[in-house]
Amino acid sequence: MKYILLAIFIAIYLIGAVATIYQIYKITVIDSKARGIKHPKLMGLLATSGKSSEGIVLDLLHRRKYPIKNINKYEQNEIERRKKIALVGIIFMVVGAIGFVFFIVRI
Amino acid sequence: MDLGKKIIEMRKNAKLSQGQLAEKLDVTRQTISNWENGKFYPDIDALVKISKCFNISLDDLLSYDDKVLEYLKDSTNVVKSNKKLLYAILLNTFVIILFIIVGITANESISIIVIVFTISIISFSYLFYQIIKKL
Repeated sequence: MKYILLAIFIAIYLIGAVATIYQIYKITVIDSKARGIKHPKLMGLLATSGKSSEGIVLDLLHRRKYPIKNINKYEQNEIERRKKIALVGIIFMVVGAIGFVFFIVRI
Repeated sequence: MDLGKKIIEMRKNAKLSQGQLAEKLDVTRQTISNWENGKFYPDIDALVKISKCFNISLDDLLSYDDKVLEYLKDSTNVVKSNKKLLYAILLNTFVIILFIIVGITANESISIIVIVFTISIISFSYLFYQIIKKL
């Protein structure tokens, strides 16, 4: 029973992490295309790299040279929608991580 | 009259095609088409270029469409979001210091370590979300 609970917390964390990383990738790809940055998918992968969101910071620094040139309302709404999904993903990660810590302490 | 129609009118008066105007403003022809059809609004940088291109003041240009003003207010309100990011960074710095202090002082107190762990997870997640919001 104990280990089932541990597996549940790890699964919650992983689901949250995968969902968040995927949303970051998609947001970066849309944003890079709107700014006319070459290789938007590569930028998306770069943004998802790093342990503590270093990739996003690198992307934010890199894209400063490229102002948004072509983005439509649909893409803007899509970015906002994906940010909200990323928030849900982060909440999953928090629940999973806190549950994991409490579980380890109880052992 | 909305801004899109005004751009069409000014472009036609200047006898420019969408492609020629796009070249002057350093954007794509599709962007000009989207502005004219009201699919999305030009940002402040583009508005300055338009005002220079057609020799019209920004004040006059913006007075045609209240929605553009609303859009600019929303898109340029970076002060508020930057404040949140700054608070998140300060909170994380405080938590790291707290972590070090607890690591030195609370040798056997597991409950204190768990509480600090929990706070650090929440504060880091808050910072992470604030960074994502900047995307």
